[in-house]
Amino acid sequence: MQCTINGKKDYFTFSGQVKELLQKLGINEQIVIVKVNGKIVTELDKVNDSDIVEIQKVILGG
Amino acid sequence: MAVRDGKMVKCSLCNKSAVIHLSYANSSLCEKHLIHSVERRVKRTIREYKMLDGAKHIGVAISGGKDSQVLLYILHKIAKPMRIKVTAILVDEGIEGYRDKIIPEAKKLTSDLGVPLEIVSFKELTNYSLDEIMKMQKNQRGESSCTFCGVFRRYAINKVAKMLKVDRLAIGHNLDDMVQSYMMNILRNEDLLFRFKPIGGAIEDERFVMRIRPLFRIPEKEIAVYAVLKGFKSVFVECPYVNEGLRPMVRDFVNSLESKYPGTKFKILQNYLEVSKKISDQFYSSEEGKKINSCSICGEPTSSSVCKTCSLLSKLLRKE
Repeated sequence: MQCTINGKKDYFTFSGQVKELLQKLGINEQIVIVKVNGKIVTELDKVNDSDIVEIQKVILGG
Repeated sequence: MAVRDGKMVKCSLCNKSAVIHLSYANSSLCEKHLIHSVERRVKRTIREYKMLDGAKHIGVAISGGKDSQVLLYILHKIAKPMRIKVTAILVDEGIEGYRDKIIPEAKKLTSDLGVPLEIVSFKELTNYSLDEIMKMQKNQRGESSCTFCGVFRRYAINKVAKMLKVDRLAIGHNLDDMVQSYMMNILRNEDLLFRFKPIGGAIEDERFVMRIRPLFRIPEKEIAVYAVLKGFKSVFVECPYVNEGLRPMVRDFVNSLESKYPGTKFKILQNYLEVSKKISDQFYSSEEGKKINSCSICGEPTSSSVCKTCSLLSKLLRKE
């Protein structure tokens, strides 16, 4: 899976719910927006190894 | 209830792919229904709290971040048919690499909406940018950047709002901001509960412009998704001082609670509204609540003899 976290690209194997992916990465689902293959998804959506995932932190200060 | 079709979650109100899952309501919404839901709840809040009753000119405090962009966009949409004038007010704290990236986006949004933009800087008002203040504070156990920023920003916005003669000042505080501020008040044992009321401020006085917080019941994530769907820029620009102070810890704690016990944020907000109402009634019927002074240094209204802005500046200059 190609997974970009806050602009940094990474590759790893994962198949399951977005929520589980975020838990694995130690990210709270409430502070990020997740796009799969360019579309915003919910944490209940499922992803697999062929997906391009983008995780962007959106809860910021200022 | 969220409906799953294969690996995609469907909107609870139609058959389209969902863009957000609302655990507290056990439902999911597609792009169209999330936008509709956020706007409907903001309108309901404005109506319920009579936020715009009799208003002729609203000042919208914008930082260029997602909350204030969404606030400006929705308020402009609501105010236009009501023939209420809207002016955006942006405070430039003087944070290199942050505010200079955001100002052009704020100018673009206000220009697209046809809303006048008034920019005021900390430097103009206090002679110091936030970066300069933090350099002066270096190696000293002084106040956090967020304390200076919050106090000076309130001072600046109120000053500009009075200059523009606006009769409402809209602030983009969302549900998460309200809950975090309430929790921080408890943790610091401060009595600033009225400062975050949905309508009005810490002190009721004609020298303060009436503040309204139309987003106070909207969770931050819903605002973020709304902003991304509307194509607002600057959503991902982070303040370099964001990890200072107590707020980030409180934010993480509340978010962990919300993930484990959905609806926690709304319950904390409800508790805040009930507690602040009781304390507010008691405060305003007391002598202390009726007493408003003028700051002996700048003349701005304050409950003490010197306002918080002048007090912070005096402390800073003593350390210099």
